[in-house]
Amino acid sequence: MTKNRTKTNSGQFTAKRFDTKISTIEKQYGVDLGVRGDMKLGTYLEEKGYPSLSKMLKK
Amino acid sequence: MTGSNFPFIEDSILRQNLDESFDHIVILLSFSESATYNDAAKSSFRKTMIIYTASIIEALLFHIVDTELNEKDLAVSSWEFTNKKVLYEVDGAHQVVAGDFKIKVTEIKKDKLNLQQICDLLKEKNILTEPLLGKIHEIRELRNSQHIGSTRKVRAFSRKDLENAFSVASDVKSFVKAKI
Repeated sequence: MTKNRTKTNSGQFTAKRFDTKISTIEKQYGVDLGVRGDMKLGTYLEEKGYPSLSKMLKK
Repeated sequence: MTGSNFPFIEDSILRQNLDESFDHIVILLSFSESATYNDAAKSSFRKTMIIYTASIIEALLFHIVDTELNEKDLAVSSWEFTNKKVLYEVDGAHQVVAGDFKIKVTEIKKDKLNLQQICDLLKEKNILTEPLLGKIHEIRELRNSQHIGSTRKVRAFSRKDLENAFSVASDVKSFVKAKI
């Protein structure tokens, strides 16, 4: 379950964005979210009933 | 920091702490939506996300206290009774006394403020008002359910609880963004 936070090659932390792909999250954290991998994180959150969290993600 | 979700926060350390907490929420949310975990585990993930969300709300509101209020604004006055002299002892549980009863001003250290005190201060200064204030208190109480010692039931945290916390955090984020 524990995976490293997203870092750039220079070791800088990168924040998740509205357009982060679900496949990226699935790969990073070893989970299957049961939707198409090319779906955007923001869209996924809206569909799952978390519109406010989606709204907080910068587009 | 690339692509911050809190770009309006100029303090780079606060911004990074906010982003890392927010990122952790997104990670935990993926676990809570995955079929890998059972309902009890998902409820626990949601509980942690609510605690993290409340910490984001607290940090954003503290940022207003830190930037808008000075030390004098943080001083609180309360009555203090000193130099007690017993004038008459009625019985073992009752005395008639005299003494000094004065207003004492105490400074509150900014870094010791909790969410309740931050809300009280911002309310007193007419910075934070209803209905947002009431919504923040709801999330504060939801977060306080982490104190399981005095809880009389096993609480399960639902998607609705979580979305409610996110909704308040989103409102607070917009409120703070507009204030600074």
